[in-house]
Amino acid sequence: MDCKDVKETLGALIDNEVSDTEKEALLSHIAECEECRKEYEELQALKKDFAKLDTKLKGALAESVMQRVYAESFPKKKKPFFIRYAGTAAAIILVCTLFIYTRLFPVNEESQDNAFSPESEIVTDTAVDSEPKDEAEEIFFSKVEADILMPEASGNKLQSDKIYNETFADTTLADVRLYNSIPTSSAVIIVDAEADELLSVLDNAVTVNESVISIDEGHDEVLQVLYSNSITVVKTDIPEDTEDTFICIE
Amino acid sequence: MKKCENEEKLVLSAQKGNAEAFGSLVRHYEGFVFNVAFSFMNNYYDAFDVAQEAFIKAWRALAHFKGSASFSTWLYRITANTAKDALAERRRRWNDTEIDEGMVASEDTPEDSVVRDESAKELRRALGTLDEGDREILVLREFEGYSYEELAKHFEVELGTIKSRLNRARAKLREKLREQNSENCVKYNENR
Repeated sequence: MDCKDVKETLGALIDNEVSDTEKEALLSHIAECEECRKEYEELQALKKDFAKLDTKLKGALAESVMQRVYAESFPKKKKPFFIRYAGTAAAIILVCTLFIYTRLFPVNEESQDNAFSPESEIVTDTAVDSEPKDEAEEIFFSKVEADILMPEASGNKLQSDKIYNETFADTTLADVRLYNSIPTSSAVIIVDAEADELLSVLDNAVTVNESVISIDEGHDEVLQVLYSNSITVVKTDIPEDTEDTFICIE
Repeated sequence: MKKCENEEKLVLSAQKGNAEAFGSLVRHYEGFVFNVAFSFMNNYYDAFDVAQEAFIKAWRALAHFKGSASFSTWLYRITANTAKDALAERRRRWNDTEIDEGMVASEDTPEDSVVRDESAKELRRALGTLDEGDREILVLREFEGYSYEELAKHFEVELGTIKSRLNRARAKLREKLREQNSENCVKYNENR
């Protein structure tokens, strides 16, 4: 074997990926060739340094991961709905009712004598960047390039760099499980979505509140609809060309 | 790469929502996922966050694991993609697209209580400066003990290609180490 061939195979020798015959030939050459022996020893030292690098996590990462997994597997919705969400559920039902009502009976100047004036009941918030209310909603959104929808709670504000297009996978158990992580009292608003497809997916997510509103409009129109129906969006910066944006507001 | 015991059963069970089964998989692959994350992030805390996020993504996407690739390969890809997102976010935060990844390495990390050897620390720094492809093959080979056959399957190339890729990656790593060594010598002489 010449030195060039040997040097090209030293790595495999270190990795124990050579045949016994080849190993014997290599070791024999190394014993007689100082240059190749030096190369071999350097590679052995490198391997030893790699071994020292292996970080001992001692289960810390696993523990941290499983805390989140269990939190997702057993979300707060396990508590009886009527105990925890009675007030919120009533509010959401009212909002949805008002929304449907205003769709059916649009408020205009000629109907001032309408005893039930939806706008007087609506708390509007036209400032996009208004300060969050004391009881700000939790807003769920999907992440960029998600293979499947992964709703994540964002606290009380949407982060603009987190709103992207998403593609909906075929309905699977995982999708149902994911949708199950959305609180049952949530109002689900679909923006610019292929609503039929999404609705069929949501049908399988039995814990999702059925107040689904499909809005096939652009960004500004969506905001106007949200604001005019007592759904306060604390902050949003949805790109104008957003499609299939999925906003869930509790 | 050694599989988890009863891995197929654990994966099937986890796919049905069994968190305990997933926990067994997490405990087995904890080091692997962390090492992959670390090879990208070159920083203990960032690697920990990336690894955690990768496992959570895996949990959520389990139904989409069909078994065409090995579970470890699937985990690797999720971790690598998560790390790339994190790196992009880091660059955005720093507003600098030419970050020397070697600079990011923290000298004060929990692992320092384990890694006291200076040559190993230099290796960590050098590893962080390699191209992603070179780093990936070295991490899989050196940290996870992937055989050449497993590497060939992971990268979907011939066995001979793996051998030359490893040789090339090691050569580049050793070159980086030599550069770092001469930098350290210059600093040492300047400070004298």
